[in-house]
Amino acid sequence: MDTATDGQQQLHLLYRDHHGWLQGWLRKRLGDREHAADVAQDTFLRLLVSGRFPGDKESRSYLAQIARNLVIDQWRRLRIERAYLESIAHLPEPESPSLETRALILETLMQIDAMLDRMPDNVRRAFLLSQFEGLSYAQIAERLGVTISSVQKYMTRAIVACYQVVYEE
Amino acid sequence: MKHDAPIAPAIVEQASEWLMLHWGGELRVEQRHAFAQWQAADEEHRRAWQRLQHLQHTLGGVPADSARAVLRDTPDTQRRAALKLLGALLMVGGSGYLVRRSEPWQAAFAEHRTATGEIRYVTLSDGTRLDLNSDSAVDVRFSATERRIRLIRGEILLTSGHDALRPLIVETAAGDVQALGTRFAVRELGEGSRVDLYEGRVRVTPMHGAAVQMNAGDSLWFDQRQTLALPAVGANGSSWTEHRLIAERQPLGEFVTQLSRYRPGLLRCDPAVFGLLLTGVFPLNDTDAILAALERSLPVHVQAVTRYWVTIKARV
Repeated sequence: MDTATDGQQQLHLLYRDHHGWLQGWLRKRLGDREHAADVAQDTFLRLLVSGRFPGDKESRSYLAQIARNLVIDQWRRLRIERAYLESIAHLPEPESPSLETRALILETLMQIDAMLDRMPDNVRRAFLLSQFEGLSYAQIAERLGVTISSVQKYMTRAIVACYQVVYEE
Repeated sequence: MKHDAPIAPAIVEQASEWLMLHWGGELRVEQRHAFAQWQAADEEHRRAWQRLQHLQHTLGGVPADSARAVLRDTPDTQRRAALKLLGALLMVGGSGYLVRRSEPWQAAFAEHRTATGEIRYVTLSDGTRLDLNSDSAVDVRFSATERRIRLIRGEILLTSGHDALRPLIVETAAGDVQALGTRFAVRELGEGSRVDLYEGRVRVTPMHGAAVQMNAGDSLWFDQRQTLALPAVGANGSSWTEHRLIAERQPLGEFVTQLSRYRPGLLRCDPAVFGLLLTGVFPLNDTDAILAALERSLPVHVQAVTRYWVTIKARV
């Protein structure tokens, strides 16, 4: 059996055995039938795309894990999208970015947000101050009440975290 | 494929240190030599550096003010913690409702939301009519013992029947507003909430204060500790539910403040024309038309730098 049909077969079995359960599980937590159905559907889609299928015993916890990540991603996207649109709402029309540019910026913001998630508090603060407030390391050191060499360590860690998001996931 | 192959963590670390130094300002002469040597020493070094250049390009792809607004740190930290907690609750099977306290992502939970300029109503499962004003969000939680509506932002107007078994409660950051068979509006103002009672009675309970009973026609402001009676709004206060603003000899400045809720961007009124009195019925589905109507009926000029930046001035 080649891998494509093998995958489909596995997916079919998983779907048959666990789709109803997953949807119920989500409905209880999200309190919204339609949303639960969508997320359940996306979970199986994600599974198919990844091609990684769980063993029998951990099927449900694995599906729940994927579903949970999907829901968190949605919240994250909603929050970022809203904040971004607010940030450009005041722009006069000629300066307002095109829809295409917006989509690109949103994608990048999502990516940076994922990077920030990997950073401990001080590292994240230093990174934000340096990249988006334009502060020098000396100014950041003063702001955070740490030495310049600590700021340099934070920044190195921040860059490594960014790298990991882009290249190691 | 070599091009996509992972790079040893130690090399990534070194490259990151170099980038950190570059970001810190100009390299000293000996640092520049060392950097050149490091690059020349190994193809993997160059590959890591290239990846970081690409990363830097990505970071540069976001305008700084958007990045600042979206990724800002303080509320963000709380949000991150809450998101993690919520994830944990999803995992162990909590309801999730308990942690829905801190903005800004909580609006994602709201069962009903409107955008700026949007006004609509929904009929809830008990027959209560819920009108949402522009840019508003609520979270509706009905249980066997109560009908609870959490106002996250904006303004709502409720027209409800009395249900002795399940009180209808609007929850705001400031406290609870409990309906006793009634028609009333609640508006979240950031620093407290406003209640306008059109029919029936309601009881307002600030989170840390004494309950106050309101009668039809009353308006009240309250925060977590205190309540304050306001001048009544009159029946026209709820005209937004019919997608109209009604002005009866209303000062222009006040009218413009109301109107600005339905338009994205800035809408300002020059103090010189603040006191001009306005009378009319204005359909909210076209705020540009309202501005044009103002120009026709009052000695004012509407100066639009763009659609999102409008000032109303005296006509010269």
